[in-house]
Amino acid sequence: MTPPRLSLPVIAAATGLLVLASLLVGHGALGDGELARTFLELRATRALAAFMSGAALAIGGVALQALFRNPLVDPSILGTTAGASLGGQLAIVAFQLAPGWARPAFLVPEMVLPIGCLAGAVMALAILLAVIRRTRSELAVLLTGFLLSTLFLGIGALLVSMVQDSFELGRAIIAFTLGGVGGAGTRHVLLGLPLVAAAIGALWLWARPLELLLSGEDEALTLGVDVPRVRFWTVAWVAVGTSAAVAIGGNVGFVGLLVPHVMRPVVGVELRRLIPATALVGGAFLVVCDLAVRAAPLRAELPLGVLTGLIGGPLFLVLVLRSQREAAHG
Amino acid sequence: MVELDPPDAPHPDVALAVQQVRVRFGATTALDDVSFTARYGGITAILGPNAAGKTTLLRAIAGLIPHDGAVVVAGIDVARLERRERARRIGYVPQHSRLDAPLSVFGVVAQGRYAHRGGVDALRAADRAAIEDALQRVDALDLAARSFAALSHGQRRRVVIARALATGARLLLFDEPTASLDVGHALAFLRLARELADAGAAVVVVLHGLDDARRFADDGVLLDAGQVVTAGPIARVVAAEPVREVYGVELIPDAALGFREAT
Repeated sequence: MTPPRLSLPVIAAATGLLVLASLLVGHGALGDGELARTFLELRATRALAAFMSGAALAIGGVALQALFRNPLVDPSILGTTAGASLGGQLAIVAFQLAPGWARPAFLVPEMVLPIGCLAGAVMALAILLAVIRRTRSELAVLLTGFLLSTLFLGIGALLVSMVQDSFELGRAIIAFTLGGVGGAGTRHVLLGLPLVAAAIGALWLWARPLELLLSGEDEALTLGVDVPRVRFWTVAWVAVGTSAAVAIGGNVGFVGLLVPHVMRPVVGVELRRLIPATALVGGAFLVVCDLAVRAAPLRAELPLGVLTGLIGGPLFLVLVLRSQREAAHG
Repeated sequence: MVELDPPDAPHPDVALAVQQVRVRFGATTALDDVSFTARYGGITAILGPNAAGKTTLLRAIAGLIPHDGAVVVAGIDVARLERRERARRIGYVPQHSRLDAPLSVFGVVAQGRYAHRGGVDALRAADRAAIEDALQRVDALDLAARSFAALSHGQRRRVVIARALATGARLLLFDEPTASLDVGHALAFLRLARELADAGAAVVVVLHGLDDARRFADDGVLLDAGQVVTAGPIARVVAAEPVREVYGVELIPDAALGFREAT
């Protein structure tokens, strides 16, 4: 039985309509012409930021799941988002504390964060790959990711508490650490857009050899795949996408686990279709999540990562239990 | 691509020349000075007791483990071939494919065309023809639209063989293809191997059963502790003297139960 397949144009159209509709929802009324324009601009920037962040994290999940031949991994579970987050925190601190002469003129403040995040994401994935080269166990991959994640978040928390002496620095680092696309300005979005677009495009171009890796390294090699090169570029582009997502929206977890899992029955597992479909739906998913935190009747806005964690955490447990059951019956 | 000098050029029938191949894993020598040839149109069985180095030899030929010595395919040292060029010349079928994804069967066999079209090009007419021909040969054309993950063990195996055939390689390596099969499926595989050889391929197959080898292979290579004990026509390899030497058992001519496929 093949499940019904949705075509990419249908998914794209539905996604576009959803994002447009999200612009109409919010606390401010759109009655006043001048004010409505400002509201819509703010909401559009925010929606675009959420969309990019979600798209990048979702395809990060697809790519890592293929690379590790494991449907239970994604950038947050493997510690990539935590690494990017720690890199961002270190970059903020380093930039603020560095004396004026040590800051190159070309380095605008908005660029510091993505660069730091990228360094952190690359570091996290490099450590992970180095550790798991010695093992093929799925459990070892998950445990290593969990340990890295915990370690990076711990170091980040230590850093946050150490810089509270400076009010400005403390505020900046806490705002970034909590995550959320509320603070994303037009410049953030413009800076992140090419990175996310490049990551999606590049991973789509690597999709075919990556799909051959689903048969394991030996079979892929004998079919002509340059396995080390595919592995390197997949990790590199996942790091680029994840770091852009974290720089824009903070440490948002589980998107890369949830969205591909929902999309596989809908569009199939072929990566050429799954990557664009997952990017679209991942983007739409975070737009809706952001809408929920924006519209929720809470005094303080709920961080985006908290909401995705509340949805993704239980789902992860369900997936783990199901995979255990399949392994037991398989 | 580097052609060997004329004095070394093998007979045109020679598909594979393994020349003094040596593989070391740390301090242990897994293969020591292994040499043999395999020809187009023939089935060559790699035989030997457990841990003799059969699978290691096949993996070395496939380019999966580093080795000393040369593996020459159709007159060309494969160490000098670019990896996609190598994939177009050597088809490799592992004992158990690690593929378990619900890709379409057609999509799985299309992976065999990666070495021809790379990561971006769409399927051309030649690719489609090769895929359909491969599916036809393993009698799996009717499975093309099915999900690989939904197939039975035997069907999956046929599809993975079709993927290797779709590469267009004329040298085909099979690692213990009959090891986990019942007698019916094992016979079906051996018949397929014969058909492939009759169509001009060179089939090199790791086998455990001496009786299967004796009946289906044309040539044999008998390994023991990483060394070639004897190589040549199968009747000379699976014979009383080498079998006694390697396995410590007596060969009883025509004593084994014989099976053939029901008609």
